[in-house]
Amino acid sequence: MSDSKQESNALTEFRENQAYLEKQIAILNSSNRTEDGAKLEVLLAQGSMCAAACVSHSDDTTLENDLSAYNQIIKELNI
Amino acid sequence: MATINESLVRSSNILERIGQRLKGVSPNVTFACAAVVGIGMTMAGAADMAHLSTELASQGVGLTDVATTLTGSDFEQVAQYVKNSFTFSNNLRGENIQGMGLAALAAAPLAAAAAGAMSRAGALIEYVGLKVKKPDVTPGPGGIKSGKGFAEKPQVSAVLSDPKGSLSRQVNNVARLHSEIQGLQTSFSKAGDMFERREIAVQIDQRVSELSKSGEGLRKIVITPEAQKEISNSPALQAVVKLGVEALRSVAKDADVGAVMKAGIEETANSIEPKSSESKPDPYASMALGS
Repeated sequence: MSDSKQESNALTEFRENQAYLEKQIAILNSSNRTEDGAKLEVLLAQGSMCAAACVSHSDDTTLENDLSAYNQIIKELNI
Repeated sequence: MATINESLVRSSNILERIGQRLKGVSPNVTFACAAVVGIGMTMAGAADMAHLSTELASQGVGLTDVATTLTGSDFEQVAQYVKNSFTFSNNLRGENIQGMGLAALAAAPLAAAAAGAMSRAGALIEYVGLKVKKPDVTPGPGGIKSGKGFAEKPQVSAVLSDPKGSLSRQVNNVARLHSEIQGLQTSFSKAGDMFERREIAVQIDQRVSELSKSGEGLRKIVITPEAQKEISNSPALQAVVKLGVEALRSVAKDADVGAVMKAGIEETANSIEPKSSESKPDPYASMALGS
């Protein structure tokens, strides 16, 4: 994907979720909920993988739908 | 609203779907997906066994046994490894997405770690994935020369060794590749501008391709007789290990991952699949993962 190409909404939302999760991980780790923090790390890694697949196969719209589904999971996440 | 465990299961399902869809199209991505699915399901499984219950129940395995087994996993250590392996994604940008190949390489030991976390008895599996310490990485001239300039002395916590020394060689090989990968990662992230990044990305792709063809990234892991015995005596361990192996086998089945990796995964499946109590355990059943 070139710089000039517009980012998809799903990818933009993922970046927001990424920042959110990173913040929550820091909070959990500082409040001795390190196991939950570790799990969120993995959840974030999965989202990153999902986003990376989406970007590297930008012609595959189903991957964008998958990323949207991931974003929805983060929306519904109760920490 | 969903719990963290429920979210991990749902997210793992998405990644599994992506991996299945990209089979044969992007083997590296597929393999990396399998790795994060393995980790995610393992971590979610420790507290929430619901997702595994169907498969396990069909094999007559009690959930209590499995939960006890998984509770021993070191989640923080696993998570740290995930974090290190996926550093590239923190700077997700269009021009650096070619680091995907790099991530796939990094994910190979991650898959081993997933298998290790699922099979606490297979401590040797974990040690390849988790106990290769982060080297002091210093990018060398040109950025990606094999092994040189990045980590002259890879630090490996070789807690177990093969009397014949073959395991040590395998460990050193894995450690060298691991150092190289991290060196590439550092070199890529420190590149001055987009053009330099692209140049490195091309070199990374070439290196990934070379490793894939030569099978150099093959990880061969020996399961100790003690671990084999523990697996043989535990239906729960057998079932969980089998699930992990089946996942890898499924990914490798149709993907263009090279004959070496396919053979390695098959060898893995054959060596640690549950055996009957009458059969004598293979003292050095081996497990191999390719990158």
